[in-house]
Amino acid sequence: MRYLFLIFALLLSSNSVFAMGEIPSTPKLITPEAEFGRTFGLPGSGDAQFYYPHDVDLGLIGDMKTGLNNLFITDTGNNRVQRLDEDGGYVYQFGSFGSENGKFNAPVGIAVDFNFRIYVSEKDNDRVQLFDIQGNFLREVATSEYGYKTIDDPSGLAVDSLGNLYIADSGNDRVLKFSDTGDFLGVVGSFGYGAGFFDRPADVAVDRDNYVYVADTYNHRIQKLDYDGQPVMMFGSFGSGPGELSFPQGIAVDNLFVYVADTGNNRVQLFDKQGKFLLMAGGLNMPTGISLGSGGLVYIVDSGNHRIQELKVSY
Amino acid sequence: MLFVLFILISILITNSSFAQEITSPEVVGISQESKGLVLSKSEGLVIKGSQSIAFSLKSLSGSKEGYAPGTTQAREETLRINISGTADDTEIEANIYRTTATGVTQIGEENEDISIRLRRANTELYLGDFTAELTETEFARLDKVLSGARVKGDYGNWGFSALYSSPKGEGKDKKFYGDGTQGPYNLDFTPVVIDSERVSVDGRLNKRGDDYTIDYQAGSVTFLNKVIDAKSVIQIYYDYRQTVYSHATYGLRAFSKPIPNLKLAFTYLDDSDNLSGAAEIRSSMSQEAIDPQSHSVIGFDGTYISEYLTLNAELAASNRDLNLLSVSSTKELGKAAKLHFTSALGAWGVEGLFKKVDPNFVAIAEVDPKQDVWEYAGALSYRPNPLFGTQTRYYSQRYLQTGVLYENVDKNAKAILTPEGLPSLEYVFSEFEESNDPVTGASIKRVITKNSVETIYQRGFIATSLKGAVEEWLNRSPSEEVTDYKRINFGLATVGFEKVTFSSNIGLEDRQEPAGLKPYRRTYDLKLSVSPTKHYFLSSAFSLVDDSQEGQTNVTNLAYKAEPTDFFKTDGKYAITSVIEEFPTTGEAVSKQTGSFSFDLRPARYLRFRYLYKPNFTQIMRTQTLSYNNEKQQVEVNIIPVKYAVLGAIYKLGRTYNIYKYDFPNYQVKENSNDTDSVLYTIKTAPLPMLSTEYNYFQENSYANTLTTTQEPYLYSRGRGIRRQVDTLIKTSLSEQLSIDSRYTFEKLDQGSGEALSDVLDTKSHALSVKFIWNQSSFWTFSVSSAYTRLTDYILNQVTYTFSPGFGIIYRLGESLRVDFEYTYSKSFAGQETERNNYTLRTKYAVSEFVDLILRAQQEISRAPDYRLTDIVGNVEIKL
Repeated sequence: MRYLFLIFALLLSSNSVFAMGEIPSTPKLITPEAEFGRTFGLPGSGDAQFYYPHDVDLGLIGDMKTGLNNLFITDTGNNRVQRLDEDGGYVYQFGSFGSENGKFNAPVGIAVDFNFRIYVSEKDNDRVQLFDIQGNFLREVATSEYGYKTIDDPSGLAVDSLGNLYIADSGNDRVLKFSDTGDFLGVVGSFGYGAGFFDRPADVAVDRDNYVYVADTYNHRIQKLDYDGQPVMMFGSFGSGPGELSFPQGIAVDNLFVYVADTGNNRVQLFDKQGKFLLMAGGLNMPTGISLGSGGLVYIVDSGNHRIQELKVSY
Repeated sequence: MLFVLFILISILITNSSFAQEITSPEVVGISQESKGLVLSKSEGLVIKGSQSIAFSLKSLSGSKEGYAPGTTQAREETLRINISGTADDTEIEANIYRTTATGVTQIGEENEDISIRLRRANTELYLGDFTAELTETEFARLDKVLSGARVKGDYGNWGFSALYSSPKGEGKDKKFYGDGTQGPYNLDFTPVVIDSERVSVDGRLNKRGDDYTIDYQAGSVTFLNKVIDAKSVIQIYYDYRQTVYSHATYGLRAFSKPIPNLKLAFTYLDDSDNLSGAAEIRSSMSQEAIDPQSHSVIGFDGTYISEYLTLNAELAASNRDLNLLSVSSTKELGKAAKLHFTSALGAWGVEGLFKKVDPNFVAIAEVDPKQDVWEYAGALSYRPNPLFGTQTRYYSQRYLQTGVLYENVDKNAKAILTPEGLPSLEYVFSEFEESNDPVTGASIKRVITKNSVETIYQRGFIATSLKGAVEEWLNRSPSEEVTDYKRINFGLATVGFEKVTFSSNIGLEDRQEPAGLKPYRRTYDLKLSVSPTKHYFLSSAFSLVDDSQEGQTNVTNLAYKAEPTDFFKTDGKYAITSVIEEFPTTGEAVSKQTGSFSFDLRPARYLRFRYLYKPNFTQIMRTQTLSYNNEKQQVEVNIIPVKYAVLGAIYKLGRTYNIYKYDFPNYQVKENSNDTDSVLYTIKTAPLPMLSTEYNYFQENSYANTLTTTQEPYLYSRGRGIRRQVDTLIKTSLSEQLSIDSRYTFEKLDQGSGEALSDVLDTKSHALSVKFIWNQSSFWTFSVSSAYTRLTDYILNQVTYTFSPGFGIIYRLGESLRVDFEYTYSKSFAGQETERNNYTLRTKYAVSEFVDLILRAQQEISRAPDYRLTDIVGNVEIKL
């Protein structure tokens, strides 16, 4: 009962914040700005060293034990997952080369869900494994045939606010959706160029309204799908100018912006939710994964430099 | 306490005069304009926090295949709330941290940590759960998790800290050796009070989350990034949630600074059982009786800090009454004193320590105190410039603990060289001599000597690290034994090259054991990748682990990517792992080889060919035969005649077998095999925004052999199956409001044994489903669906008809609320009739920018067979 009181109080407080937000105030025209921050890692196979890492995800809830603000990184070239604290300090690693449970062959995508579980996709074992927050193997996900095809070269992963898992089934040019208990919910896309078609999609992201954003890598664009998988819009085309993309392999999204790892152009680009270009930050070497921390911090897997690059976005 | 905090929150929120000053620090409105985004921002009270609640309930009455009857519930919650603000010049900060879990074992059942801090000028009042943090002294210290109140004041020249509390638990101390694993290591008393544990390994304090995790409910500690070997001492202080007598802890510490460099302080601590009702409690104890006790410590300390000298001195006395109910005197008085100084004179540094503790002195909350202590230490350091420094230290300790006299001597020396632009170099020597085993107390007369050197160098494109260590463990008692360790770690990598990356790591460990054994472990890791242009990439990696006890494993990895033209690209990877694999009769050296190759050819924009090849096999090196094979090939053709249509054809081959592992020494008899080939034809179109269609034809042939006799002549049972499926999906959007999704599937399954094709399974099914979706408004969507299935089982000579009508409603309120409800009724007519009702409710409610509520409820009620399955899963996310 006390707990209900607290929830009630929180709801009241959040409503109060809303109500107060309606007080007329002077709108402020803003444009995001970005500045590179710290880097984590050197090439190698030691602790906090990487070899062609591919993706990163952050623990956004919980506490220190459950990985709050910790970075979970697929260290692809070393066939392992490393966990770093928010200062880049080595916490632990799990996995080694192999095909048995708990081992990896080219781990690429990673997602940490709200139940403190870690999904890891493996390109060359063609599977997605689920681990607890300590890296203990729980089970495999997406093991059956969906739409006459088994999963092939799975890449980016995302978890929505309902706990549903999205897998960029790159080799099959589609996105798969599973419930938090591993039940298959649906499939979107196949090879092609039109809306709702993909060409080796490498990553997927979901915003808090459960719109799905797909890095449609070989079509050099981003596609936005609604909750039911219907295409809503797409933006980006091949090129190196502002707003143009070249083999985008990573995507992240928050309430305001869409962050794209523009891999072929060695940069990160920011778009608004309608696909309008806002800014870009270059000088990277094959950025592949991207994830958002608190306070405007963006973590980019600077894969060709074997490190994690921090980017601070302010507006 | 939660209630108090709730009241506080409510007051803060509902107090209108205060609320006018409160504004959200975050985004409160967003609109899109021609440039950038428009936000309005304001400042004020900060409410931050996060809440994660996940609960699930699964209930089955009756029986259903694959489900256990009964009800299972699980709930996990983590709540963090922080409210901070200012009222009447008083800073207010309230924190809640709470975790609860039921139905799962990972987290303690319930843990709470609640606090309210009020601060005005230099005075601070703290209510709730806190760690005492009276840690400035050694003898009059208290560093325990308490629940109560604390007042602190700091007024420059003087200050104080006073606390009153009831402890959240009783202190316990456990010291033990590692067992060569990461744990879990179990504590003796549970549940453990959250945040109360202090975990150290070999004297080094570990950090929760980084170094270890703890299950407060189960009382187990698991180390994260290392195993704790059998020579490492783990010491864990913790409180467990049980106190026998009513209990209170008082504390007062006051300090004064008569001159800027001098701080004098007085501390009084009292940690005593309450006599009220103590006699009855004690008489009710059926097992080993625990007497009510009182314990107080008074201490004086002083610190003097100047440019050349830091001096710290402490005097303390403890007064314990071991049995407050005893008529005879059970009091124990003890005294303790300490003097510690450090002095810096130019490049030279000097340190001295003298400590003397009476046999009867016990600090508050010290579970297993060291008594009759005599310690002294001296250290000398020399650092003439920033490039070079050296230090040597001698430390002697003698004390009595649980009746055992310990005498330890620790000597160490360190030199460090950090020339600019050159490799840094660090040398460390240490020798530790101890009289008794630190855990068991047994006399051991052990000397541990360590020498280590580490250098790190990064210049231009090269980074190197090298660390070498030599360690000797000498046991003089009960017999003289020596174990030597030699360890080297070396890393070399290129940094910042665009076209070439090289990295290598080598780790060597050699051990010489007293019995003459010389186990070793060597790891070599070598990686090289080259990317001459962005269209080509080549990578190779080699890893070798050579462990004298666990055997040798090596992995060789080759990978490439090539895009020689715009219309052709290929990538591939091949890995070879050499390892010893245990067979029933012998251990065999095997080579496990896996590969993945992809070729993508696009001679025109409307045409794509793909070929995939994925070998995966295990070869026995002695016989050169395969013990396992799993080979997959796929050919795919896509034609895109227009932008919104694609025609696809996929042909797949799969070959799998295992050998019979008891077939020693030849390993040539297959235990089972399974070969498949399949073809899939697909046409997908989206000619209009209102229409998309998909047509599939799929056929798979499978052939299986299973060994049925394990003696010659070997016999197999054969199996064969064919699966054919035709699928048609049509999605139409007749208008913006109305759409129809329809699907028809035909499936024919045949499975046979021996030469027969359909003697195991022979079914044919037609399934037709239609769903009308009406988006009535931006708020409401209604759907009506119906499905019909006709399944013919030719072996049972039975036809099953299933009819499944249903409807659904979706309600959306902007982006904040979405409710999905679906109902399906399903009735089958066959030899055994079944009837089911399925209800599904999914809701997502974004209460505000910060609060999301999510619920999914599903119920299946079946009348034939009779069961009721309920599945409810919920999540609440609150982010402030």
